[in-house]
Amino acid sequence: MQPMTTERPAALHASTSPLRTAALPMLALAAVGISIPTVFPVGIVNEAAVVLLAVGAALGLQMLTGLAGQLSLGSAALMAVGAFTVGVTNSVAPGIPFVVLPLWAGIVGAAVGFLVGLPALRLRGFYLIIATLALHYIVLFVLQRVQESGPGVVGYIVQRPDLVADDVRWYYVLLAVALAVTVLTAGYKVSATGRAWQMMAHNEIAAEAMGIDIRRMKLQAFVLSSFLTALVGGLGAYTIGVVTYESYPLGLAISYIASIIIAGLGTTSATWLGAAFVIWIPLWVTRLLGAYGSVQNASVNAQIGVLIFGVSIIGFMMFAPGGLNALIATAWRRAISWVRVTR
Amino acid sequence: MIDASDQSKDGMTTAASARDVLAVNGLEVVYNRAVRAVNGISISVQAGEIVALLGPNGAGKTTTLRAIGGFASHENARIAAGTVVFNGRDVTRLRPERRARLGIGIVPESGKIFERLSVGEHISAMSSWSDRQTVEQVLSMFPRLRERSAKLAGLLSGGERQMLAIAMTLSLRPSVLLIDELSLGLGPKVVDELLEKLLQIRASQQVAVLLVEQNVDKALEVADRCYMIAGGQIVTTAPAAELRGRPDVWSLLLGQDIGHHAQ
Repeated sequence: MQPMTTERPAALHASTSPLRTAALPMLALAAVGISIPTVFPVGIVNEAAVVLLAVGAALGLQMLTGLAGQLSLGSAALMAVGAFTVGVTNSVAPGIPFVVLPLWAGIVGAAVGFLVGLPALRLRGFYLIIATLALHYIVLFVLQRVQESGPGVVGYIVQRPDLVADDVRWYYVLLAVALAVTVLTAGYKVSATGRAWQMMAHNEIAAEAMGIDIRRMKLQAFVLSSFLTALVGGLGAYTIGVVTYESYPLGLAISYIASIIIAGLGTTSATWLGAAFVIWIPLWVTRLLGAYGSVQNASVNAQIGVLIFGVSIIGFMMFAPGGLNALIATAWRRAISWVRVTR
Repeated sequence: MIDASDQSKDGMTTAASARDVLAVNGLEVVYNRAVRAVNGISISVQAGEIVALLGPNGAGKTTTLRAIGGFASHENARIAAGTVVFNGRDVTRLRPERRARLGIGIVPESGKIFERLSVGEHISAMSSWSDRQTVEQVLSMFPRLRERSAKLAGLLSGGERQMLAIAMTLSLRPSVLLIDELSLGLGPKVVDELLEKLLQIRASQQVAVLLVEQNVDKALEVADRCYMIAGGQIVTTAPAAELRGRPDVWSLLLGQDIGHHAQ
């Protein structure tokens, strides 16, 4: 049980109009997101595209962990499932239109999520983490075999359709998806299902006493979260242009966990900041360390990343358990009261 | 959401009496395949009746209540024998959420509310599964809850928590309300207020109440009938009026000298 603070946990804001409260930060994110390509060079835009993918994956995890309270290390594996679905389908049936493929990746991911959800009906906490860890390695083992029996070390080549082949245009596609997922998550949070998830996360027995079918709720959370994660994974395949199992180490899953803790569990807009943190901080740290060129070196970045994430998870849990969301909310309240006092 | 298709055939025959909203027959609950916490308990609760389950610590009161609510398996326990019949239907094998939807409302001793949700979120949850009229009715019974709307449930006082928990359960429109330790950790004034509410609820909603209590005097104030449980068995059952206000109530209850013996 976490210590009770007098401050409302960020995850559970329920004012009279929760959606209206969520709208302002979302508009701000949209504005910043839209303006990035007009201000920054394409290199930064490409990094921002990776941030947007992380936003999607982290929001998928927010649904599962932040709202429904189910811990999972399976995000990277599910992204890999999405990416491989796109890669394999593309190579088997090249004629399929672009719009269909990420959705198809999401559906395959949802099916995997359903299978993972089944043992989760009996497992909680630490045991669930271990089960999803096993999932990660099983899925990657299978995908490695798939890749070896197909294109081999090069991986599956995935090309964007001409209309959005340009990096900046592709960035806007990802921005639209990230915003849509944010609206979806925010909507789910205040829906009856989302509330039932939160009730289940807080207290399973009391939730059942309220007539909530927690087995169904858990499966729903796993399926929806996995759908989103795999869909984002599918889009990731187009972003990188090549699908290989090596792009999905466990460190990636840990970075998403870090991002939702840093953002604040159950938050939506703040998750963007968490995602930006886990993508950009390791990049800039490697740059500052003079390790230029390591941007392409996923393993070095992942190691530095895991180190930074570990420290920041501990730091946030100790000093700001509500994450950036709570810090910003407090700063906002103080600023408003300061303005009122000085006026 | 209520599925009536699996209505069991023997459900009709095991009911002790047509007026029983709840009938527990020869219930046996075993923990960890070893400890028999409840050993052949039979209880009946009639519509609109308030029944108290009394007894010392470890007697099996809470285990019985949880088994009726469907939560036996949650604590490595198992119903080894007996049936739970609700409104003439055998619910012994139903999952807790199904029982809750059928009308068995349970207010557990601890963890009955969602501490990190606000009272307002509890109220919107009620509205999501219940009609407006019911929610209004429930809230009018506990006006203090609306005043606390913005507050986190975990920051409520003990009495307010109990009110919130009872309100949540009532919003499901139960025909029997199982309450585990209504008075535990609460001041006497709060307990009196809650018991008063209980009488109001019974009168206005025709809800039967099965009350597990260690505070025998308080329980007898509102109960119509009581069962004394010790060692997983019913020692005595008697109308509450016979025991009310008697200083020797415990020895009477344990001395098995009144009423008729159960089994």
